[in-house]
Amino acid sequence: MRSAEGRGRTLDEAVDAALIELGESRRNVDVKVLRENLDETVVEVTVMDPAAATSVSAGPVDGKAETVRSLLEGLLKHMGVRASVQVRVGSDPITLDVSGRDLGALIGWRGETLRALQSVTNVMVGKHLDEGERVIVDVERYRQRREHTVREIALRAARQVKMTGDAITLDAMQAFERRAIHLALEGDPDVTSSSIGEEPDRRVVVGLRKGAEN
Amino acid sequence: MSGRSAAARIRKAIAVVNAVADGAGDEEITPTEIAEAIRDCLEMEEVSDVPNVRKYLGEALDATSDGMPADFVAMTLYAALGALQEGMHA
Repeated sequence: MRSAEGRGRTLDEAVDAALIELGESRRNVDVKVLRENLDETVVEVTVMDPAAATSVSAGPVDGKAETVRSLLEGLLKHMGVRASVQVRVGSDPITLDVSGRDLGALIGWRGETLRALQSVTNVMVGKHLDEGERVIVDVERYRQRREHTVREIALRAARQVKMTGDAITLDAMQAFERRAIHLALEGDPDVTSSSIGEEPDRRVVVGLRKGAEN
Repeated sequence: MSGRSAAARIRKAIAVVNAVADGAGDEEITPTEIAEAIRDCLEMEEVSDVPNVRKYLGEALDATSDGMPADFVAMTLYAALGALQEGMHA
């Protein structure tokens, strides 16, 4: 797996520096903040293994995943959507990647249609899964890209909170996005995240952790 | 009839159910709260004006009280939303 270190005054600058070195776009990379202070941010950008993002033929897929994949493919066919469905190798829970041309309608406004597709898929494949097991559906890696985006938002908010000491309330987000933020900040000794409000306007608040006020 | 406020309430119920399914880990949502959100939808007059909307909402409420998985409840609510939107544009 290729990775590079990037430095910059801001998180964006640091990520861009690493991306230039790698010759990659933001789409297929994972960003880890190594160090950040008022003057400089240092990140490690890792290119995600392309094999882990490709098709069923790229690696062994168990029978359950293949059954789930073919069910979703059948559903899309009945919907009149021309797309291919592939199992993301090594994903836990089972993640199905839908790809094709002009799939924006399948994602919908802020991922609403994608979320509906995931619900329907889980109901369809439920009897093939263990209790509590679920399938994640992603279209053109929207979900993954969105998780990366909100993680970057979280890190930027954390940086600002540390500088100013004031808590920041982020925009309303879906549950999987809020979870991505909580996970991104859980290891930070200086800031904490919590959620306020009711669905669908539930928002994450990033604030200073108790004892980190100085 | 606009039906927009009814659609907004159904969307709210869907968001509550999805939060259970996706497990953000920042809230404990009980079946009672889901049922409340669905009942809020049923209280709206607009849901009676469009065929099938009340029926799907009723099914979602039954599914919640029967302890069906969150995805099943969400799917039924999506059906209600879809029927409402079709009725609005008819």
